[in-house]
Amino acid sequence: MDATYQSDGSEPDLLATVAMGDQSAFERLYHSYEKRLYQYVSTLVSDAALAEEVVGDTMLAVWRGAGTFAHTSRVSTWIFGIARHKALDAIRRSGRRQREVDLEGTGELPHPHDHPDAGVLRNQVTRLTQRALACLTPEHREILRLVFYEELPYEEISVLLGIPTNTVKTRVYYAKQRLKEQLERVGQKEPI
Amino acid sequence: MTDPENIADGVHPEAALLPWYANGTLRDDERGQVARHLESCEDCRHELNELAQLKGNLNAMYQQVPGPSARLARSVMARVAAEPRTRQNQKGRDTSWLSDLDQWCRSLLIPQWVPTLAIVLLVTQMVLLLWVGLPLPERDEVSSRSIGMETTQAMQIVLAFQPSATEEQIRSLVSGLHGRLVDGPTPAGLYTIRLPRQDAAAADQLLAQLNTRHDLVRSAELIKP
Repeated sequence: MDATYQSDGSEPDLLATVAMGDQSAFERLYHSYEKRLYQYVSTLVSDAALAEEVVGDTMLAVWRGAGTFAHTSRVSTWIFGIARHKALDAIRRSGRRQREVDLEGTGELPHPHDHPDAGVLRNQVTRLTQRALACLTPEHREILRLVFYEELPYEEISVLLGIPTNTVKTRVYYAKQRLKEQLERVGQKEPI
Repeated sequence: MTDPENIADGVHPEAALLPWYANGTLRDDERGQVARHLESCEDCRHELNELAQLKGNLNAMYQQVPGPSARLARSVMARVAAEPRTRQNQKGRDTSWLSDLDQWCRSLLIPQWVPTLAIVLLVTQMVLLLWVGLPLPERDEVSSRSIGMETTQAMQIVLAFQPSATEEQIRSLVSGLHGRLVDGPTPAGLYTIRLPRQDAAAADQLLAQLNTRHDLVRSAELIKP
């Protein structure tokens, strides 16, 4: 995960300050979560505008309910839990089938420290990963992100998704298999 | 989604933990277990390498995925600012003491003390069962009978038997009275008998009956308390 978004042990304190109505604390919390939340919600909601709406509602719920954080999980798990509920509500309200995720068209930027060839290669890998991910189910995309990008322990993922820990392990196992299959499939179509 | 309920047969149990070994969130004991397994399992080492590569690819990809628009941030901040500050502070205070109360109530529901209470109840129950099951000591029996006989002392009678009465006849009579020989014979040939509790009329009737047994009883008298 990007170090910019790395949570630390001060997050509960930051949230406690938000609970006291400190808007600057909320602004710090917002900026440390907006991108993560948006990307996470986008694994569930395909429509970009709807994803933004869910993120906005989630952060307002955090502002209003910061005092109810029970310290039984990481702050990130709590916030992602709110976002997940709101995303699923939004999907139900919109009645749309979430079949495709708009992860395309974002992999063209070269990494600033890469050799030009390395940058090209990185972009190709990123594009293939995006295409392969887009072929997975929302559940598989979601859990791969929670494990490998949000770096959540399986116990917290179990709480967040409301499923047994064994199901978490099984779901990751098969999500990884499906992603590997899809990578091979799209790699054949578009060799690196 | 149609994932099988379990990981495929033949896959090592440690393989299910490899994603969290890769993201560094396993508990120490699980981490040690996986590390020991990896030393001897080439398949799982290969799987771990794939997961590490996948993690790198996902990180690289998500870093390039854009976040929400700046408009969203402005909108959220405006809505937050629009909520009255004083109310928010009050809310914070209310939330604080309500939260404390809530935490206290929740702590009562957290069953940390249940095992202790269960053990105390079990021990108490066992002690009670042992106490009830133990035979009563002799002195208790004597004392309880003494207590019972306190009221029957009025029912003690003194009997004088005919010289011709045999021991067997005396015992038979006492047994027939449902009484107990508590004293005698005295040098004067008197026997004191304790009788079950009964009212005065029954006692008088009994004495009258005894005094008609001239073949056996010379005299029967009630001992007044």
